[in-house]
Amino acid sequence: MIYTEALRKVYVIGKEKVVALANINLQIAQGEVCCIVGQSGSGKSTLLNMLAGLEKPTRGIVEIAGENITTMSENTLANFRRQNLGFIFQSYNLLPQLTAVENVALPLMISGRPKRERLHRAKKVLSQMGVESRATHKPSEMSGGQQQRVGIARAFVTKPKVIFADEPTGNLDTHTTKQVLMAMLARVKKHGTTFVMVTHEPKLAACGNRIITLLDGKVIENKIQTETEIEENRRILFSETSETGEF
Amino acid sequence: MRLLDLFQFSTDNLRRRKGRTILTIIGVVVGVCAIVVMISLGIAVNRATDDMLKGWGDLTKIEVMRWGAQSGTPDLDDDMVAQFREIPHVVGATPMYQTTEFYGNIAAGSGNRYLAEGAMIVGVDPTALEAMGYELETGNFDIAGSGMGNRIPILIGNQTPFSFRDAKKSWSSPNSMKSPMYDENYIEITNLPNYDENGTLLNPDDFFFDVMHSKLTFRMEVGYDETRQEIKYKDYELVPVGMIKGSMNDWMVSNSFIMSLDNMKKLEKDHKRAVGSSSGGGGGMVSYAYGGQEGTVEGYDSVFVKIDDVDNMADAEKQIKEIGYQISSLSETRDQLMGQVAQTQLMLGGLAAISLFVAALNIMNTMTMAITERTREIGVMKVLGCSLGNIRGMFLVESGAIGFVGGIAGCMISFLLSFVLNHISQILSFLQIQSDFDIASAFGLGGLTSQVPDAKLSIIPLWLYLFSLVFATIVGLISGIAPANRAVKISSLEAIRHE
Ligand SMILES: Nc1ncnc2c1ncn2[C@@H]1O[C@H](COP(=O)(O)OP(=O)(O)O)[C@@H](O)[C@H]1O
Ligand SMILES: [Mg+2]
Repeated sequence: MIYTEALRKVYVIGKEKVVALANINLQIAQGEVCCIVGQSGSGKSTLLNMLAGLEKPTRGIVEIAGENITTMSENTLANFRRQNLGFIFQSYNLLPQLTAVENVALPLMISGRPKRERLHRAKKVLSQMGVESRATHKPSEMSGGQQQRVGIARAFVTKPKVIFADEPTGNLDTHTTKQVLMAMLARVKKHGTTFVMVTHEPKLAACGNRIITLLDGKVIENKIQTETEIEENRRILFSETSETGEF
Repeated sequence: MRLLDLFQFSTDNLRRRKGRTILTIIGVVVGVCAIVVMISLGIAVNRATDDMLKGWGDLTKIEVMRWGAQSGTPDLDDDMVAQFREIPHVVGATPMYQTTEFYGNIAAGSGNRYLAEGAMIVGVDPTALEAMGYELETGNFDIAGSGMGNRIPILIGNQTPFSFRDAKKSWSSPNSMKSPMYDENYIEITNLPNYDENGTLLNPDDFFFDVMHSKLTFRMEVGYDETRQEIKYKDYELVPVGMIKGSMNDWMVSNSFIMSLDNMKKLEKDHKRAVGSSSGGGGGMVSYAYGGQEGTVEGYDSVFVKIDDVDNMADAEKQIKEIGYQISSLSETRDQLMGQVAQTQLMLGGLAAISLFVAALNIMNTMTMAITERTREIGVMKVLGCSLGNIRGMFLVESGAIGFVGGIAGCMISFLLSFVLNHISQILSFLQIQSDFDIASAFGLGGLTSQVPDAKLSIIPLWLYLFSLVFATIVGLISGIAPANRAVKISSLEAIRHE
């Protein structure tokens, strides 16, 4: 589903060069839950942005569903993103003037779907995420966990092939993190969506089929887990008490 | 994105920032009011000038002159008159031909007691007068016929009767003439001939005789009889068929004896024959050819051309000038006057334009602020796959809406301002404010109001409302272009930054 070849990203700040990514070669299959871990500054976000086509690589290829997105024009890319990709942000990024249901319906509005249809679909996904009671609330009237559930609903409402998430639970407490993660994984599994998630928390990453570990812009580990390993890791994660706020 | 959603999304965003939006709109309102009111003043001045000029004479008449024509220009003759008639919007064309070939007096009364000496005889195309817009006091326009023998049908102007003199009285006697009497403003003659439907003269005492119903004799001078020491005459009977309502502005027609060009030319021929035969017989005769161009009139000194509407004057004038002739018309005078008005206009318009320009900067500023504030939001929209066109559209709709709403409010306030300007004296007196301040003259209209007393100070036609509405919207859109382009350039990464 996702394929990269010799992916490289160099930032030039003044005279200094920062190699954020050096020669990344990856292959992520359809329906895979792929977690990217690594220390802060290791290049996780840069890689995710590159995969999602939010940023152009300095060199190399990113292919999604067989299409090379690195050579697409900005409008073609927007089109492609609208039809195939979803995105979940760390800080939710809901539009403050819109209600929850309107926020979820936003991608459908951008796609030009009629109002009735998009509100209907948005409500359905909201209730699947367990926040239908907040449908008419503005983001400022919701807790972080609720906002992120709305954000997840917004990513799923267009039924994308791939969903990218950059530290989606980074702003949430441990308890909420587990609930939100569970909700996300359930949706992904149900739709067979390819899911790429950045996290700096190895215990969260352990819930994925594939765990890619970055260090200084290089892949130092590309681990595939068996279903039983995943089951075990998830069971451990969700059974742990979270009084301490630590995993 | 659907257009309706785009509109709703953008206007919702405007409503979200009410205070700032309203301030920006007020800027547009001021600009629109300035422009609408300035233009309305200009329209009012022009309309008042037009009304004034209408009092001066016919705005749709062009006088085409032979003198001053470019070399190589064809003769101003009957063929050319026919050519003028073919010009679009021309409804009539005729020379007002005053011959230099012959000279004579018109006599009436027993023993030719009443004389119009050196009478002004004008030859016209008989079909043209009605088309030229002349109206009759009495009778008809039918001077086309050649008449029987020496009888020639003519039209007379309504001041023509004043050209007769009582030959029995001395020149210096106050009773030797019946004179026109003027009103106190010297604008109208109060004792013009007045006929009822039956053709009866209602004010016979103002004239020596009723010219319409008297025997008129044109006594053409055809030489000098040496032996009898007196001028020789050839006599024609003139038969008035109608009296034209002339005007103070049309001195020639108001004071002439008008016959058809054909009859005029016949008289010229007669004169030539008579003078030629007598000079051949008598010898030593002085030829009466005025203007030194005996017998060879290659066309006319001037031709009058009537146009259907003032608005088409410029077109017709241009076409005639292109043939090579000089022209003169009231509308040309009007254009010069309007040109002066236009200069004042330009100045006022400049001021108005500045205020609208400031409004445009204001919109630009507001939009730029909005975009800076919403950088993250724009980034999110881009991540969600919003096309660049839609992003640009969103902000253009916002700035256009500011212009549009400002335009509507501006039009409404302009309507009120215009009303106040037009009723300023009533309003001042209603408020019991004593004011000698003549607001009209402050706008350069002072001279006009005395001539056109009911002139309005401000006129806003419907098109001006529509124009300013469209214009304000366009100004809004244009002001939004640069900020919208900025929004388009915002990176989708802005959605992720500062996390
Ligand atoms: N826009 C940028 N300009 C310059 N350097 C950047 C930019 N984005 C990221 N970097 C640098 O690239 C490296 C990787 O950053 P990032 O991908 O954000 O790391 P992570 O998400 O793993 O914390 C860091 O050294 C960071 O300073
Ligand atoms: Mg990061």
